Amino acid sequence: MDLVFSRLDDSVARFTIHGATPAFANALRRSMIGEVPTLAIEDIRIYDNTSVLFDEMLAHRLGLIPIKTDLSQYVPRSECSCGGEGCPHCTVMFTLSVEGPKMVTSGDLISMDENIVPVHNNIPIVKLWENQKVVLEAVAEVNYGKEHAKWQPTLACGYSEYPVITIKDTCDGCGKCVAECPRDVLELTKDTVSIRVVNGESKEKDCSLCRLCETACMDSGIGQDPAINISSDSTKFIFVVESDGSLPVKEIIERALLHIKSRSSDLIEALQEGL
Amino acid sequence: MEKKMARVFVDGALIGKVDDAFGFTRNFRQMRRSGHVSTEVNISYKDYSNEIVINTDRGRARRPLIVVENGVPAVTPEDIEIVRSGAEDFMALVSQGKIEFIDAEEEDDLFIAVQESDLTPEHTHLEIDPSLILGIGAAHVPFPEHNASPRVTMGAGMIKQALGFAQANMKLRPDTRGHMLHYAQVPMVHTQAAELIGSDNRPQGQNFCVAIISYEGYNIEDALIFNKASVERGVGRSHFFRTYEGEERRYPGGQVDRIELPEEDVQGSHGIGSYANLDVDGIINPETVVNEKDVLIGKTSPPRFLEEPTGELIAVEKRRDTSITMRSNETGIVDTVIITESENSSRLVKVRTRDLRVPEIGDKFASRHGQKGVCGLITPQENMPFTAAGIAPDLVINPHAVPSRMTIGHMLEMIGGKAGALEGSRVNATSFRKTQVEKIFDSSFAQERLLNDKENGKDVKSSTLTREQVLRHQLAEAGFAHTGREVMYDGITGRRFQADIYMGVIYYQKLYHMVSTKMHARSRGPVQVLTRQPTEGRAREGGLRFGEMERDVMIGHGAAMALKERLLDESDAVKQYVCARCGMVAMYDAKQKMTRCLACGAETDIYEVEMSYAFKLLLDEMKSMGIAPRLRLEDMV
Repeated sequence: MDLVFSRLDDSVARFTIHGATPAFANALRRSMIGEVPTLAIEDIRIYDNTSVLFDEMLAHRLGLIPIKTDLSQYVPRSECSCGGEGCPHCTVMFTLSVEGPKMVTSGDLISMDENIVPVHNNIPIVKLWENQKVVLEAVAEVNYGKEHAKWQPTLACGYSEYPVITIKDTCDGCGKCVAECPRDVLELTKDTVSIRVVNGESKEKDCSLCRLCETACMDSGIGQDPAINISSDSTKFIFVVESDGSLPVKEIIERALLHIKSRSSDLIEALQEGL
Repeated sequence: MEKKMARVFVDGALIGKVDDAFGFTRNFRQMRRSGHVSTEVNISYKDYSNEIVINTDRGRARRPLIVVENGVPAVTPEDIEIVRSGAEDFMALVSQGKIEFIDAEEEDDLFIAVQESDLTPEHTHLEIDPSLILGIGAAHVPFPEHNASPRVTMGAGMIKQALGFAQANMKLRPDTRGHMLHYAQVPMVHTQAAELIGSDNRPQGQNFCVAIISYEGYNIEDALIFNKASVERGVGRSHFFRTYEGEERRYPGGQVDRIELPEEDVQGSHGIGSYANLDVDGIINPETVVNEKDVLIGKTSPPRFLEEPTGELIAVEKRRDTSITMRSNETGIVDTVIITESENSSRLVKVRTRDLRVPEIGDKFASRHGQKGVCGLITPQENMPFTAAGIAPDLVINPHAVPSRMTIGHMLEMIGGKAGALEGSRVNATSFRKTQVEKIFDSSFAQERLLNDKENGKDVKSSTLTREQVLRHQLAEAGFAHTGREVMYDGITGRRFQADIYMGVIYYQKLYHMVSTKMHARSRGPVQVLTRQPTEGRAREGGLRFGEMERDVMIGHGAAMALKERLLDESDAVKQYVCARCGMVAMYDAKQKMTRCLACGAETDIYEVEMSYAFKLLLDEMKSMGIAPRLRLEDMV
């Protein structure tokens, strides 16, 4: 298998996997969404809440705030040596104490660990008027996205099969397919249609597989056999992974792959023990 | 020949009669237009009953119409220009008698043209805009002219059941019942009428990302599949509020109810533990989590009947427990406690509870096109179908919901919502509108269309595009297929779906009907006092009726024992002593440990007979009428 990145920074990764199966691609996707742990606020103790939001609404909003996570320092609570009791190795305590008038934002959360802070400081939590007050303690814990969406490290996370565009000799260069394509993948050159090339890079992979060009070609009166044909290579996958900021994308991919690996080795162990 | 005089009613009261009813109404309207009668008065002549009805009272919904005389609208293009320039306002036209506000009663007499081109000399009025033929409910439905009419009616009906942000002062209101939707959104695809009514300030739904695909069979028969991650992020969450109240009522004789911590020995006490949540004043504190039948307000009442004073000791009055408890089947958190004074100037306590309602299997949701459904599955995001961009829908509906119901408006709204979301602007979906070509003149799409019109010899300036064409164009511009379909992958197997999936953004409403208020089952429970049969209804923990038709089935199967069990043993079976000599119901004297017939005095030959308590009641009622029903006993074989 082969991995080619076309974009990789802290928040977004685009890469192509060659020589995989849909099952493997999906395993990777599912692992990235549900099996890479992050920190999110789980328990809160409210000392005072005279805001317009009810306690449970406030708690829900706090839970959804993405928190920068260092997985070398913290482990999932259920796998922690404390046995799920909650210790400094799997949980982080935050405090929030704000008096109105003010918009309470994620930046007002004070962390016990200076490295563990909300990803953004400007996420609104609740707007306070005069004489309104919110005082609370929040405990963030490390857990998995399959448990609750707040622990998902990813935002958009998906893949598509690699498009394969073939243009036959029967093409009469009417250009109907070029006008129909929503992704500007095709262009008209010298009485025939070809795949557009921008900066030396073929736009083939931008194709959304919508096959509107095929329909357009058939509508041009060419018959039931279109001159352009869209198919896909189900051994090549174009991935898009976007991080919510709690973990760098690279770590999300790595951790997801490690998870697949550890599940496999668990099976091998079980298999060997069984024999 | 001689026609009777017409009776005239003002606000429902008969005030007199007139000879020429038609002339009278005509003159009346003329005077209203010339300003001699208030524009807020409406008149109608009812031919069938020969009555003139004049209404001046408040609370009538009225709508503006352009006055038409001899087929010519009273409002001229110059008038419109004056109003547009701001020199005069709309109400100036009303006071000039060019536009009239018409109520439901007066509307019956009129002949209203929907479009200016339809005008004939017979017409009396003209609609300001064709979309105004719709009422408040139907006016909220986007693209209604694309739907089958029954679906618009159903959509209009369901808009009334939608939960939303209906009151801005929700925190303060002590309503007996109330709902509030969290994160209510303004619809991406909206109508002008909804905007004018003010629905944008009180929205009642959310924009869902919806895919139309059959999925694992969990969405057959209009069931809905929700994305668990979406639900966890706050889709369709709402609060339910209920206010309970207790009052210190006064009784004749100086006795009063007392709101207090009931003592242990009061009659009908709920048990000591039940009052643990109450404060010293007998009232629960805010933010206490309460479950069904928990006591909210401790209250005691004086005894129902005053006891005869017993000689030696002054009897201590035995008070009854009349505490206010949570309803059965309802839980929540105490939200607000109000202590105040009632109309009878006695102490009044109101306790408001709130309950968070996260969407669950069985909750009802609907779009604005009469497409309602009940949640059938909440599945993890990983299992949902997804697009190449990694978007998983919030909701999956079944494709069978569409063809037979012909809700094209629903499909258009999905495309509209998608195009609007991609463009970052709301889409206007007011009925009977087209978009002028000029507005999107520079797009290649419009140019092409213009060329077609030019070739066909049409006037290009007046060319219009349907809104569907515009939306499709916007989708294509944003890099999506103009069909609204997308290539999707199965989240479970990871394989690409053979067919492209229709996906878009559409406004969905959470409807008032939620399982948590309806779910009900009973194994044992309370019985009615009179008949000793099980109670009926969820609120009384009732049984499910084993009715006539169910009885027929049992008989058809010959299941006599099962039938007797349902109808007698598990209902109101009683054992009664029956005197074999006279056939009347006898009694058992527990003190003397013997049976006795009070009708004939027999002490033997009395047998225990199993019967329905309802039957025993029938015997008693017959006796009360002076009929002596006698049972003839035989030996059991």
